Amino acid sequence: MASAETSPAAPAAGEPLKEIPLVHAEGITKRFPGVVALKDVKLTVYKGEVHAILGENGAGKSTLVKILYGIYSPDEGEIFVEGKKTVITSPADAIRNGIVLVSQSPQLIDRLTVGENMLLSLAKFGLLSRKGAVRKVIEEHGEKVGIKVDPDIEVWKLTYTQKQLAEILRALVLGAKLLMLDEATTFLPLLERKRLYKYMRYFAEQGGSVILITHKIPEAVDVADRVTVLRRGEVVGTVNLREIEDKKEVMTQIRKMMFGERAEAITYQKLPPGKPREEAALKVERLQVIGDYGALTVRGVSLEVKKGEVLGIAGIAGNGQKELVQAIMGLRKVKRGKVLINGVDVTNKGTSKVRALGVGFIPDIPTRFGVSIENTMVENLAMHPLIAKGIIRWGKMKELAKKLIDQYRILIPSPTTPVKYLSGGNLMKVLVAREMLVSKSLLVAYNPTRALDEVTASMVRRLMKQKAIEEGIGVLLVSEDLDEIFMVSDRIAVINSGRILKVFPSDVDRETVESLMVSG
Amino acid sequence: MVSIVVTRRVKPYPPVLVSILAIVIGVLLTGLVLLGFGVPMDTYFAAIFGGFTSGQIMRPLVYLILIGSALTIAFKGAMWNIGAEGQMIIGMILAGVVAYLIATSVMVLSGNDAIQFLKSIGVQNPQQLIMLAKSEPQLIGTYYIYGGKGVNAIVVRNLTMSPIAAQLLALFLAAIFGGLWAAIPGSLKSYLGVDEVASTLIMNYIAYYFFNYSASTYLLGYSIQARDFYRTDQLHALLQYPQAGIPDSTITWPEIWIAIIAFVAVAFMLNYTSLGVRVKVLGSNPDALRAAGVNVKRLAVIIMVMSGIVAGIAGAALLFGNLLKLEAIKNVMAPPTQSFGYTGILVSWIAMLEIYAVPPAAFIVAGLQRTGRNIEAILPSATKQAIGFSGPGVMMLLIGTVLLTYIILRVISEYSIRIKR
Amino acid sequence: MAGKSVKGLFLGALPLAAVFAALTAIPVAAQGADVGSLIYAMIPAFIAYYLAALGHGVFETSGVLNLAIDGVFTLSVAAAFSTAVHLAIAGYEDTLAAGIGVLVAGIIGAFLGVFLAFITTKLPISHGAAGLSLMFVGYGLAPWVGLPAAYMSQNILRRKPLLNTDPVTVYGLMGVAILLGILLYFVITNTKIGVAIRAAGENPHAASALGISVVKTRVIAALLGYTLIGIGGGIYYALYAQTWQEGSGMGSGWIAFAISLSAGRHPILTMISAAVFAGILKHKYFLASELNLSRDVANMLPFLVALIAMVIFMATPLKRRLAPPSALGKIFFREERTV
Repeated sequence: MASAETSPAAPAAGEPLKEIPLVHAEGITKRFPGVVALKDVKLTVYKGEVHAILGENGAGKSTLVKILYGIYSPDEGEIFVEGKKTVITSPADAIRNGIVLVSQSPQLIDRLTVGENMLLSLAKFGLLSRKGAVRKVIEEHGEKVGIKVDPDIEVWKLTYTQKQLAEILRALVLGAKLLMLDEATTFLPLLERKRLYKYMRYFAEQGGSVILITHKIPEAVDVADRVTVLRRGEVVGTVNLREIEDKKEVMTQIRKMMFGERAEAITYQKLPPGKPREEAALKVERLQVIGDYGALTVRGVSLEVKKGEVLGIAGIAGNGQKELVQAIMGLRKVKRGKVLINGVDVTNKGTSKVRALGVGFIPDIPTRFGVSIENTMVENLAMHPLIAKGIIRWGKMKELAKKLIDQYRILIPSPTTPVKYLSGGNLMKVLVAREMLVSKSLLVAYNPTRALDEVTASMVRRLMKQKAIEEGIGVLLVSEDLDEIFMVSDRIAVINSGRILKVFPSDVDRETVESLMVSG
Repeated sequence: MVSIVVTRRVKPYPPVLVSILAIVIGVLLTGLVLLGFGVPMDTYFAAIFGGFTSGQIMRPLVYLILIGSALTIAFKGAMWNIGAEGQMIIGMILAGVVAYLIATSVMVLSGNDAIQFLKSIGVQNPQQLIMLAKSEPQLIGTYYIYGGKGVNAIVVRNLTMSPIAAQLLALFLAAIFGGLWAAIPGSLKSYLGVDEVASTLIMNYIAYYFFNYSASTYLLGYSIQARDFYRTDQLHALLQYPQAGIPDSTITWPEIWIAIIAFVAVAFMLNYTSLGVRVKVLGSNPDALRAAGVNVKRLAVIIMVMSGIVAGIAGAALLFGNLLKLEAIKNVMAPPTQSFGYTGILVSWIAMLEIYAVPPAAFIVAGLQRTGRNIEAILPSATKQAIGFSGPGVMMLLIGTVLLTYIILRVISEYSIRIKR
Repeated sequence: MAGKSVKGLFLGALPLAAVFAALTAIPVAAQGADVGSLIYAMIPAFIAYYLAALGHGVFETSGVLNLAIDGVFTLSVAAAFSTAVHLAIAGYEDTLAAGIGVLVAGIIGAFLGVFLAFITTKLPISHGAAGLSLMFVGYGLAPWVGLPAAYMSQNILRRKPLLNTDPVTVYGLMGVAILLGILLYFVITNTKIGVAIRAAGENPHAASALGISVVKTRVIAALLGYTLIGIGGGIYYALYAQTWQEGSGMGSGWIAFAISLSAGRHPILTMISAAVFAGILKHKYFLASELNLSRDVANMLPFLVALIAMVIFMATPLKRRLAPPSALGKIFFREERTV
């Protein structure tokens, strides 16, 4: 077994031989209403190491780096930078201490140019300095790293990859000593990702440190010197990878650390096949949809979901999935093409028309498009036009809520508790329970398990499939999680740059799908 | 380096505490500011005490329940309707239209015509009645007789429909047009994204000047008093609401009933209908509501309309129960609405947007509403002139400081604020 | 606000300007009045409203919804008046007294604006509620500040200390106002503080993650913006209205709000919008008499046009060209739960 250490004072063999760690955080605790995000967390990062933080969704990885970057303030705990106790209350503080964060969604300002964004970051430029001053700095550093960006281009015109590269360039221009990548590479194309990992190693060799957050265990094991595993806001342990030969065994060990005793209960097994019927629950014909910034984002998508089957749509985030789903649900205007549900044309007829046909919807950000967290569970049920009309009988509504609480094992004090006091998983269960209830002909699910722990995620997947098999509804599953797509779908469509490239039967080989997802 | 760190409390303080503290601190702060301007503290507190202990609290209480309910609908749905003033004014104008153009006819008579007319309706001593009418309008049968311009001139208004029908028609039209007036900023917000705070406020001024226009043109009275002051004739006696007979108060029964009925209706709508649930969710998360298949744009307009209906009714009731005439506004700080449209905002916030808390909140604000006038009554006029006393100033200052204290305390109750160094 | 789209902005604003220009020009032409003197007469109104609208634009560009403007403007008018009267009684020359009054109005404006920007950024407070409360505080304080001075000006001084209305002062102040507008345009588009102000208005979370202090940025924007709003209020008294009574200035802040909004908060375009409104405000009675409307309708006219201007701006492609800051009025709180 690899050494799972608990104290930075007793460095295990093979550890970088530096007495004073670059960053050392101790006793970090952070609470949000309804959740304890971090509990007495300790993390040590030495100079010259790549340190991966692993954990399932909601384990507290992002919260931890946000604390180090000064976005969140810890309720308790202390941070030491190069041995000196440091209070970080804003990103500006963090940057001053050489700590820079790059997150999954680029934190650049869309309506400003790349140069203007950089100018804001660089403390060495005074408040009255001109815009042009920053150009030279960008060009010099860009050359060094091999990242080329036009400083005069407005950020919204960049692709996701370009934005992310600009972010990383920014971190380096700032002279980061500790570079924190919070799922920053997850959605980059394979080639860019590999190049960045290579650069990260070079950066560490030059004495810099990297914190890498990812949910991909193999990648972490590949790149990192050490791995710290978080579970439900607590550190499970740190694994030193330097001298490990058997990567397979380490991965199993890390998996156990991540999921605990439940590791066995989680299956990535394929669910039983659906029972497709003749009639289509959903038919989309040559759909064109405009995205947020005026560009055509869905570019002629045609697809069909039969009753009784699950159609999975695989793709990397930002390839038109969000806009496609919103257009189907009537939440976004269709520019050209048609959407038919149960054979009824609902193109640009509004969400209420779509919903009236018995369509359930599990959106991407449940706290925004799914439930209203300030309201109680019964109110969240009653707000739905398919559940309550006219005068409300609260007694009946509570009975319904209790039924769902039992069925989905939702942890909630009472049906009249505001759902903001629920944990992310239970919140999601409230949403899933409601949407399953209203799905009479079709369920549209977009990343339905994103915020869920693996156990709940498995349950949601199973329920979706069950609903398709037993009640004969059609399910459109759009997910960026390829495992999920393979587990649930009867057919798999690949979306890339707003087009469906191909539809495969469910036994397609994984590499084929992946290569289509990233093909440019 | 010192910095302030704000984090969300896991357990917030009870909201009632926030409301009570906000009033106490806000009242004290206003007292301090007024002290700075030369109003003695004891006068200030005596005025506040007087506000709560006299029957005069009744009218503000009734209207603040009405407007507080109206605004609670809007605020709960996150439609920041600051236009209750304008909606009340429109209600008043419509009530005026009913009272002076629809329900009554008017005759201007002088000399022999006047005498003969009075005799024809059975007046024994016409000359005496004309004299009396010069100072106070006289009711004879369905005729309401005012003094006219000239020696033997009179103005006669005859009620041409049943008073109850006229009163109901006035309320009905006031409700409709109050709602329509509110529908304008509601639709502009929903369909074009025009900020409703700015548009409702601007529309208040439009309503004020439309009110002045109405009072000095098509509703302008014929009696001497009316002509001299750019106002309508006094409301026909049979249209005036009957007094409730509460000591120290001129409050009328219909005003009280209107407030009770409106409050119950709003409470029922908010708490027992799907519309009410959607209003609440619209206020906290419109995206979720839209995704659930609710037409949120239309809902937002409906919310403004409901709010405007109640405010419009309040305006009509104020004319029939208290004002009894429409008179052009000279100082925009002292409009005929008695600024209930603005103080109502305070009621709704202090009630934490909870409809059942509106009556107690209205009671507190009603007590404070009269502070300005009570100080005015206590202070000697020489002092008032020297310190530049302003009754509306006291009220606005109270609204502002209590509201400001409330929102800051609200934050402190929900968030912990620590200083780190 | 990239430089190359400036031409587009002007083109986009043309229909708006044309409508207003027609509104003002038609009756003037019909009357055959002396256009030069009519325009000269509206300059004081232009300066007052342009400065207030310019300040409003800068302030809102930083992302704080500015609903306090009318109250602060009203208070500034009273403060300028009161200061001028007190100084005149103390023996200062009228013009100097009025000038200092205008500056004091600016300082008071800046103080309240900084307070508003600070609390709405540092604390997760609704911008709307905070702005409205301050508006009421401004309304409430104004008569207390103004009425004693009104009493003194009537009974002791027997006049109101004002700025000179000779062409040198009027054109001079107009020149200063226009130069200020151009300078602010340059600052906003070309300097780091300008970029920071826009960043704070577009996406304060990202701006903060980039390493700027959103609080500091917005406080600076408030300092710039609200000083101008206050000075605008001061000029309103000392040069335009030339009188004060209880309620003076109430509603004018909203007109400045509409002027700024209808020009998309753009410092240069706001000039056009302000000029049009100044024309309407100064000549409203003349306009009304030309159109056979009553005095009350004339008083209503500026508010009606303000509302229409807001609608035109939001309903036409102008809105897309001069889109409001994305984070305008949104609570900036970094610690929001994400899961």
